[in-house]
Amino acid sequence: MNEIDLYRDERPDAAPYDPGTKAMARDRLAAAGRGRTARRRGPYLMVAAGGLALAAAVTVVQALPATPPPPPAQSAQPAQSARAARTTEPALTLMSAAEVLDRAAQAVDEELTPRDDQYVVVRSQTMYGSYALGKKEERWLYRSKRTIWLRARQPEQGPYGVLRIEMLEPRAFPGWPIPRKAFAEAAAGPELRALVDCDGGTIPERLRTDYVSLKRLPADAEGMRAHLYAQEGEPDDADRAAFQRAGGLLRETYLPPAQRKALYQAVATIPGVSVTGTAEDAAGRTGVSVGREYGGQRDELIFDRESFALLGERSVVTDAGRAGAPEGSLLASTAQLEVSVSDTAPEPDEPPCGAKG
Amino acid sequence: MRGPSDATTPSVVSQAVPAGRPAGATASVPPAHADARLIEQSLAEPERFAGLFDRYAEEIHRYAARRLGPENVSAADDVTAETFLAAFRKRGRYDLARPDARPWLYGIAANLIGKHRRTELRRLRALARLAEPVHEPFEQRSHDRVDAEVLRPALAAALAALSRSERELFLLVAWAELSYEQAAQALGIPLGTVRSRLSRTRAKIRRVLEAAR
Repeated sequence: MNEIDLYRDERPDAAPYDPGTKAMARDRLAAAGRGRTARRRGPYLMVAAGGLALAAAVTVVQALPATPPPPPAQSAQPAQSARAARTTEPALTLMSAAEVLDRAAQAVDEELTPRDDQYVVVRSQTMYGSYALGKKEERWLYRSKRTIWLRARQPEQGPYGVLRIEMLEPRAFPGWPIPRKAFAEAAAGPELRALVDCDGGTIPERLRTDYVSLKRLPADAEGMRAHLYAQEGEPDDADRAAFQRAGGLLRETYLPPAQRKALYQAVATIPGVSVTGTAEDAAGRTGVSVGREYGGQRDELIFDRESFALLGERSVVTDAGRAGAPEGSLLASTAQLEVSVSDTAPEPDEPPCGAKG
Repeated sequence: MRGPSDATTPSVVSQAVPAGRPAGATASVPPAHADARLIEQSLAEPERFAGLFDRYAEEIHRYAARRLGPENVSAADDVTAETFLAAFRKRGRYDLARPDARPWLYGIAANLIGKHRRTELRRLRALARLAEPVHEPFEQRSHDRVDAEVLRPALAAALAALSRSERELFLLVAWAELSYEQAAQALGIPLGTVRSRLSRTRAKIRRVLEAAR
């Protein structure tokens, strides 16, 4: 018998790759990529030590652009347009996740109707974890102000938008010193990046978040639920994947009212989704949150208490052992500040796909 | 979230959970020939490199986990993470004429696994010892139906008897299922060397297995 075949047949089972560990490895890699970009562009200025003092207050995080409370007309402040949902002040702590989501689904907003050639513009503030694994391991929470210009109809080819990122002072990941490079990144100044898939392809149909494709999504709860669960492959936790997908549809997008309503109703049916009394978004606005626990953290969508417009997202540690940070610490936090429509987008700093384009 | 080029938009939960980018980065699983292209593009857009992780992290982890054993899965985790970080740092030197990046990644991983060779050897020897209590002569067992419990210790003993370079090459071919050519690329040795080393390795394994009978 051929020895190679013999060993192949008797190949030992491989221990599975823990999804959390895998995600961590991927994030480190992504952080390495990010660090490179920031360095390439910015002067190495050290940020004043004031940042460190702030960092001590670990709990405050802010994070990514969260969602799209549809703003009226060309521009709206979600927190204010909240008036639209005329509700009496409910005893929030007594509300279930389903009730909160139902209010969010019923919330009325003036509708944005961008033309295909226009851009949906979303302004947000974010805080997320950053991990570096060089000679020594480093962790910190990076913060940014972001504005995204997304073409209302994603073009067949080429850039589908522009992203402006301005790094803010980093915060400490609980128990870890903030590395110098995190401050340098923050001092590098804003960056304008073309959003484009240089492989020549475009975002897969199922994952598009441009206005035109969002408007094509099911406008009923059942259809939307099926969409949320239509994952590729076999996620280890299908409910979590569905919840994540819902966040993806809300984050840095403008989800039309009919689909938004269907989405909130669908989220209410995801097992494990529950309500939290009070939560603060990255901009310090307080709301009520609905979330789901996974990997020692609870990921939440935060809604305005009055208008039930989406304010932002956050992730709070619920299991210190699994999350690697004390219970209650905030590892991600975002606020979606404004959604509007624009005829134009700014020029990126560099041509898309570099010189090899 | 927004597709591969916008790696800076993690979902809130990005740090501990895979679904942080549920499919944003993995969705369009491209053919292997796209690897070189992706690596080239990552020179200008470093965050795109994560796409290579999405394609091959599971596979590399599986290989590392087999080599190091279930009791050392955290070492396999480290090897996998370090493989991609090292690949990221070295991507400027990648030979873009090679469309498939797997041999390159396996080469890096093999090197990193090599740093754990004491662990691997200790483990192989422990597995080999499991055979010893079975004093029943091998011939008395049916040759057609060799119990895995009997065979596996012998296989482990044979692997432990190989030199480091023999074991690396042999397992890249037997377990990772690389072709001779891919194995040559992975280890940076000529194809002729792959052939001769493999044939020597197989002879050695045969001798050890025969001695076990």
